Amino acid sequence: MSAIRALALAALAASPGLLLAFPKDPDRLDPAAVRRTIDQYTVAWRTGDSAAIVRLLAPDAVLLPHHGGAARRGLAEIESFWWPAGARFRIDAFDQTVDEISGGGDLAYARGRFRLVVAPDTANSRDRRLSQGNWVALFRRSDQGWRISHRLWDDPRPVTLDTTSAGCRGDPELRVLDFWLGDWVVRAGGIRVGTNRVTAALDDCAITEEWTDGSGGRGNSLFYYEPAAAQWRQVWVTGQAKRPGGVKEKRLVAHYPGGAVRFEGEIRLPGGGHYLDRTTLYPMADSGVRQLIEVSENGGATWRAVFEGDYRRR
Amino acid sequence: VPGRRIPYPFPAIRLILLLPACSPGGAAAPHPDENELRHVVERYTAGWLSGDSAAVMGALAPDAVFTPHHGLMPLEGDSAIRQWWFPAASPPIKIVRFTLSPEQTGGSDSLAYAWGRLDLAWENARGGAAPDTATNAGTWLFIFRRDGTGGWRIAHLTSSDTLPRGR
Repeated sequence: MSAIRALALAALAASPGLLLAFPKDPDRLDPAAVRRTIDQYTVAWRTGDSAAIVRLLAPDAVLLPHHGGAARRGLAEIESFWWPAGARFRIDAFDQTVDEISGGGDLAYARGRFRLVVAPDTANSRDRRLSQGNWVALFRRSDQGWRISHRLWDDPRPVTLDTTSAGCRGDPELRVLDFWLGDWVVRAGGIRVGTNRVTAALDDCAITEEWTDGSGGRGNSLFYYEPAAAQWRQVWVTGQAKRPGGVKEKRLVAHYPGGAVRFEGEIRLPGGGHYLDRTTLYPMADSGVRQLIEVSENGGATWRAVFEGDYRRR
Repeated sequence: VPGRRIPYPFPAIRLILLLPACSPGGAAAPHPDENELRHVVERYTAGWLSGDSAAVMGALAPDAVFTPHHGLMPLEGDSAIRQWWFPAASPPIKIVRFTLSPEQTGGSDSLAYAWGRLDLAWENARGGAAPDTATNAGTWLFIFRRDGTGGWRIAHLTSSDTLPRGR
């Protein structure tokens, strides 16, 4: 039971984007402030800080759990749902994308996708389950910032992770980037902008990327699978590492139907401040790949495409 | 939903009681436009029950987002949602029971929400044989925005419901 409840924690997100005919209240909404609450919530779950989680909830918060579970109203019901007496579980990974943030007045909402790895029984650390799905949340402004007033999430049945084998070969979780392996010519807007060689390495436990742009600029990535979080991660380093974006660290935050994957990370600037950077890789039916790189300077409320590459095999 | 891509709409027929949000710790007040919000939901569910796609889509904002159950990818905008729910190549789903029972409304002058329980039953056609009836139940959450006339339209809709057996 604790597993189900633990899995049930999974979803909270943001939502933007509306037409002119549906006026927002942009002057009053600070999307970055809402994003901070979302990020704090994510970190609190990752670190198992139940007090921090509760502090991010409105006193009359409503939880609408996955799989049609009964609504939980108020902190007491929510706490007994998530942390029932005697329950023991461990969160190994929890990530949330923020695909939209919007609001009006003292109410905001957000949405995105989540990815959760939980060990429902800490006595058996080999039993780990992966859940991925959608979250939608409402937020209410308070003196302490934006607080979660409602959260609904839903996902399919969790997948049990294979922790019995130390090898990487043959593990489906480690095959999710296989569509990107190859020698590529990369075009943007129809113009050749570079080449990319993406290669499996270290007995399929890692992937290397060797990018060369049209003027000889180079960048290398190491993608590796972090077993505790059951998650792919990326380190990207270029020959201009001191420039913003010259070095990036991202983690795989979402899988999409059709095999697309999204990596997301925070890029810190030397003088302070930061922005968000995400890359989505879409396998195409003709064995090509589309790569979309986007940045957000407002906490994920809006994203600006900075690169859209069309990959064709050499 | 088993079988083909069912346009899982959490269609619902009528809105029953609106139970004010009496939650511990001091609750948000019901939205002043609660009756109008209920009418939007009623139009939506009535549209599903009568197989009237125009009525269903008319309850939504043109840029509405539909986040389906069970982690399926969100659909953004009228066209994507319409194609999902009412695919041209498939016969319409026959909804035989659809109840959205709001338990709480709230929000501001420009953004509102409602949530509650859902109860859904639909018929699965089986060639010439008698159709199967499938059911589902769970919770739903709608977010509303005002349209150009000051009325309310559904800007976001999502639900959570029981998983099919054996999946």
